[in-house]
Amino acid sequence: MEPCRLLLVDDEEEFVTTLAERLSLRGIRARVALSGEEALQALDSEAAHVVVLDVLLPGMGGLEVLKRIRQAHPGVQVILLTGRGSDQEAREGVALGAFDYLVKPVHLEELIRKIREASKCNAMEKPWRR
Amino acid sequence: MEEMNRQGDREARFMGRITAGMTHEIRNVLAVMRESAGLMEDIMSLPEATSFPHRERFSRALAVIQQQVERAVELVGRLNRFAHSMDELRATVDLGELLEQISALLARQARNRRVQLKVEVQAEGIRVSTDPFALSMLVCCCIERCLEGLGQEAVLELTALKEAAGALLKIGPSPFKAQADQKMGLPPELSCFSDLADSLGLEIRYQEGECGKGLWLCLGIP
Repeated sequence: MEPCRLLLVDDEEEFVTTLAERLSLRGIRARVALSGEEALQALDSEAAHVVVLDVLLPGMGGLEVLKRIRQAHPGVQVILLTGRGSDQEAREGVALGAFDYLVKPVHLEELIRKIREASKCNAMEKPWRR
Repeated sequence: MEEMNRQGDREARFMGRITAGMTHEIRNVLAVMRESAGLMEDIMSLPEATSFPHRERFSRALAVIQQQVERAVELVGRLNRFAHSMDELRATVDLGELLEQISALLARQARNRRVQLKVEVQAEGIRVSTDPFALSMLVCCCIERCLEGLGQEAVLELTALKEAAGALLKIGPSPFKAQADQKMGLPPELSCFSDLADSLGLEIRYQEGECGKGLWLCLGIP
């Protein structure tokens, strides 16, 4: 099976670049995007299997990004990261087609497990188009 | 009075919104700290790091950082849930969870006075429909007044029980003494909260503790 291609989307640059580095040490290649707009451009230029997406992004919010990803790249699985105490936003995201959600700050092992589950799900869908 | 209540509700919801927003920001900070400490742990576990002379001290310090991050995550979670209690004027409240939440929020105050807060829930899923923030505030204020009067090494029990009609919250043994003819209502030390208790529709009564162990405050919630 092809290695999982991952896109991390969060406006907290230190968080997302450190997370990418830790994933890379574990053999998971990850690109980063610091905004919703950047994430959509990144997906248009190079496909991904899984997107880890912060719900609260400045400008285009996470749920709007999710909707656009589901429209333009239906094979991509999206894992939402939420920092809020209430589950409402996360449930809304899952209803919009997100694979699942995790509450920040996440445990790396749990995130990796979720990424692997999501990429298996992606493998069962039609191959994505560039 | 109604205008004051509306204003109070607006103020509480404002506080809640701002606090909830801030807890989200704090979670982001904790996420950065966790990942940065985690990256340092990853690097320390690489083969080329085995010859680093201060490896053990670094690893211990990183473990402390991770423990404190976990502690902060728990605290922020509690604060976030408390902030969200101001969202609605009426909601279903699990009294066991409420007492656990309040016990955690007042843990430092209790610790400073060397008093232990002990939560007991007599049954699963004791739920009432009420104003979550107002109930939390009344219970917190009752506990705080108890803490002021209790001696060191005391144990203050917070109990939730199901009743035929509604539920009962018991706080005690308290340092209060009821007046000879007073069986119902708040003790004088808590009389300033009578408006709050009335707005919640609570029945407040006393119960003598076993073996004369003091007076228990009982809040009957319909």
